[in-house]
Amino acid sequence: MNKLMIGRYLPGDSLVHKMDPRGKIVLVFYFIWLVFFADNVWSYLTVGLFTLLAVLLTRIKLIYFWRGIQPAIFLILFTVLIQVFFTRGGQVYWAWGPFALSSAGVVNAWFIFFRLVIIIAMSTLLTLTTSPLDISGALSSLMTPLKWVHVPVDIIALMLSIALRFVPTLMDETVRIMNAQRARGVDFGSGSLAQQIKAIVPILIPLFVSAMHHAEDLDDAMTARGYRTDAPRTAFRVIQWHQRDTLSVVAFAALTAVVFLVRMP
Amino acid sequence: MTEEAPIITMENVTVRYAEQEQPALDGISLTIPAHSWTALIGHNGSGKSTLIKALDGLVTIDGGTMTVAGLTVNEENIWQIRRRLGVVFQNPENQFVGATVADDVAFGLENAQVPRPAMVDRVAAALEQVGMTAYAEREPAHLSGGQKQRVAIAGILALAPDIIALDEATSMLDPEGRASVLRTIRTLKAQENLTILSVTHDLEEAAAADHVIVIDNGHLVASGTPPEIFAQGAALIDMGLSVPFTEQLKTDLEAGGITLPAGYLNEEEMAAQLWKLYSTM
Amino acid sequence: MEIVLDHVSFTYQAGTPFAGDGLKDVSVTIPDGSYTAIIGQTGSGKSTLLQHLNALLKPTQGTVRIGDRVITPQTSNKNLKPLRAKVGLVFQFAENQLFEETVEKDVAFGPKNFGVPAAEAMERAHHALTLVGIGPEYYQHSPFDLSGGQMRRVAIAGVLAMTPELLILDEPTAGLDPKGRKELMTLFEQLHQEQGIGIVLVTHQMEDVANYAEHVLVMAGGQVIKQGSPAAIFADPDWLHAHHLGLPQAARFARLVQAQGLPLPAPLPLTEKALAHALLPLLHPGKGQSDE
Ligand SMILES: Nc1ncnc2c1ncn2[C@@H]1O[C@H](COP(=O)(O)OP(=O)(O)O)[C@@H](O)[C@H]1O
Ligand SMILES: Nc1ncnc2c1ncn2[C@@H]1O[C@H](COP(=O)(O)OP(=O)(O)O)[C@@H](O)[C@H]1O
Ligand SMILES: [Mg+2]
Ligand SMILES: [Mg+2]
Repeated sequence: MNKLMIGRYLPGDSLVHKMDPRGKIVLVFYFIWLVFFADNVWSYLTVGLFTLLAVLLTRIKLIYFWRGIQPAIFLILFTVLIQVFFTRGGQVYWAWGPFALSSAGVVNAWFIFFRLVIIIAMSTLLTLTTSPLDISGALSSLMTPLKWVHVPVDIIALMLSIALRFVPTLMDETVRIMNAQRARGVDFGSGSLAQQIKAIVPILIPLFVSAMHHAEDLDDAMTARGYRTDAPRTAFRVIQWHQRDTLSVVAFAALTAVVFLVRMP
Repeated sequence: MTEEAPIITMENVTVRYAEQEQPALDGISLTIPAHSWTALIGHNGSGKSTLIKALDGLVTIDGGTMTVAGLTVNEENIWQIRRRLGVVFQNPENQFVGATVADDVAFGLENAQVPRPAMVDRVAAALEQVGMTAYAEREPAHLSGGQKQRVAIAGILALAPDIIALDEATSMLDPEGRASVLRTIRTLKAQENLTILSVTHDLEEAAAADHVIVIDNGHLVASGTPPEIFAQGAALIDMGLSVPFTEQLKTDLEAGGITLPAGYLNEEEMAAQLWKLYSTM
Repeated sequence: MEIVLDHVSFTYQAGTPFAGDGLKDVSVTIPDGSYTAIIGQTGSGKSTLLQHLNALLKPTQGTVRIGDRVITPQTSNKNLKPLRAKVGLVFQFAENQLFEETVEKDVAFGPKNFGVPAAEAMERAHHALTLVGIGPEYYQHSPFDLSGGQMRRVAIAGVLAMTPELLILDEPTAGLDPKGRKELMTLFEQLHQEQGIGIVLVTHQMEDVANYAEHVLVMAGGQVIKQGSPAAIFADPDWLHAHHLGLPQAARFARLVQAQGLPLPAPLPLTEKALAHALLPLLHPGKGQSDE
């Protein structure tokens, strides 16, 4: 139905898949931050090769990474063009009003281009190799310190996990309701804006009603199984830190060292 | 069958929902013997789900008293009762709380504050008992309705209850899913010495029960063994229920001038009677 | 209106790692005005097939001919609406599609979408509601205040109000009590007999197949693996068993009686009435054989 690959998880058992999701999330964000320190060919080459290595380690076909980058391609080109024409420096080949084509502009544009591609590839890597469940679990775990300021972290974590678990259910239901209304003569995606908005009502109301039913039943089912918000619970799912996670931290530390060594003085 | 001490009792229980003219349960009194299989039948809207929910403290009663596993159903005991009485609801989708099969089975254990090492063992054991071990890491979107219901049963088993109540737990399943869930429950009942209270429209299931309770518009109208209940043929139809196949056949054969013994016959008994009639002619 | 599927295959989410087969090379004909039952395990492709009958899904390979319209993988989504009025599709748990403020408005929604003037649409709605046994006292109720069985019937009325030539029903009695089931099955039989509406019924109740269907399609793994009259389909219990399907209760009981030694004549009775009819001559004094 849709070929968008952002936010889709592809199960696998590569080293990257098996990483502690907390470590993975933190390291990916750290990496994105680190990329902004690259400022010459050597430092870009370093982060670029590192990204390529990480991508290869996932053992996921490159086409899926490409599909992650694809939707952002216009944004990338736009940013690159702005860089090309608004940066002045080095040799100026051509100038007109505020626009200019200069050697610094071209170099900068290349850097920006690489930076964006690397960042998107790395974020795609995170979502391709980490299930939503692990991401939510990791976020909850990372939020734990907030308990000290009385944020109900456990309840938020359970809510998040139930919400994720019902996404496929509600998506199926939406498709079914849309088809049922189509069978009653509704045309989705045609007619004026007003008509299209009107066509949404017969989807939204049944979807809302059904979500309410899910919620009521779920409430009973959870209570029947002893769930109460006023009592502590133990946790079945624990995220485990392995040696490979320590190793990956070391790898990132090494990367940081290299990037800062090869940076322009 | 020897009559055991009751494990569930209801005494004059009434439930009235807000904004409803008729009470959903109207002075129901009943007892359910321990280790029995009791089928609860009645047309849609007759109050079956309300009865189950009342026992589990999910709706508050407006009158009467109830006991479950020797405990009076009240605010103080309710969390203990919920560990003695597990409920499998109708819609497989709406009782799957966990993100994966194993997480879902663990849900009740987490609530009961079972320490993690013990929890891991109990989840594994419960999944083994319902034959879902291979699916431990699956997400609910990739399970059939029957598999989800078996996971729900595992979640209850993990808490080692005395009673399992099934509220039309197989009505949204296909015949294979239904058969697999019923098979699972039968085996478990024997292994764990459980009491089963099953709301069902499936007459074959009811015919195999020890007891049948019929409710109609919030009233208990009949209670007895399957032969006692199914011998009432026409009265059941008037209540919006149907009669077992053998009763229908009997009615038609009698209309055709054949005399069969009075009382309800199950399929084997009926076949044997027909053979007897045929061979003695 | 005849519907012909010619080598139809359908793949869900084609071109993604989540692609899955819905239908595989299905060629079948739904004859004009017939009562066809489709049986098969969950996931065998029954609902996918149904959605091809009113062009909600287009084949990824092959063609579907609905009356004189031919649907191919290239057919555009425009102008399919007239088809949907002629082929009414009632989804599983159809009560989930209700959304209007009142029962009558919800039922009139379909005809209005097909350009029927408001007054006539309302008239058709009332007629359809009468057919399904919902009285005028309910017309102004919110559909959400009705019981589950009533909601189901209102949803079916919503499709009937489009006056389809063919009515497609995806497990229409699932979750209802015996009385509700019986009432709906009787309604469909009436529509078929009295108004000549063609019926395609997906069901797990073999009794319904035996009682009402003229033609049966058996599906497994996205394919139609057998088709024929109910008598032909139920003639081979071992084959059915191998495909996780059962016999109607009457046929099962007939086999039990035969195993006891009663010489029930072939073919196997499929309904309770047929069984009683076959048994009576054997049990009446004077007609049975006494030497055994
Ligand atoms: N939450 C509720 N609020 C109001 N009325 C309800 C509620 N649940 C059930 N009822 C009503 O109570 C009666 C009994 O319902 P229920 O116990 O669900 O019956 P059954 O399970 O036998 O189909 C019905 O008339 C129903 O409409
Ligand atoms: N929206 C969907 N996306 C992907 N696969 C689907 C979708 N709907 C159905 N399928 C798959 O197609 C096959 C046939 O499904 P379906 O037609 O619903 O079967 P049935 O109605 O016989 O239960 C199944 O394997 C099912 O998993
Ligand atoms: Mg109920
Ligand atoms: Mg289906």
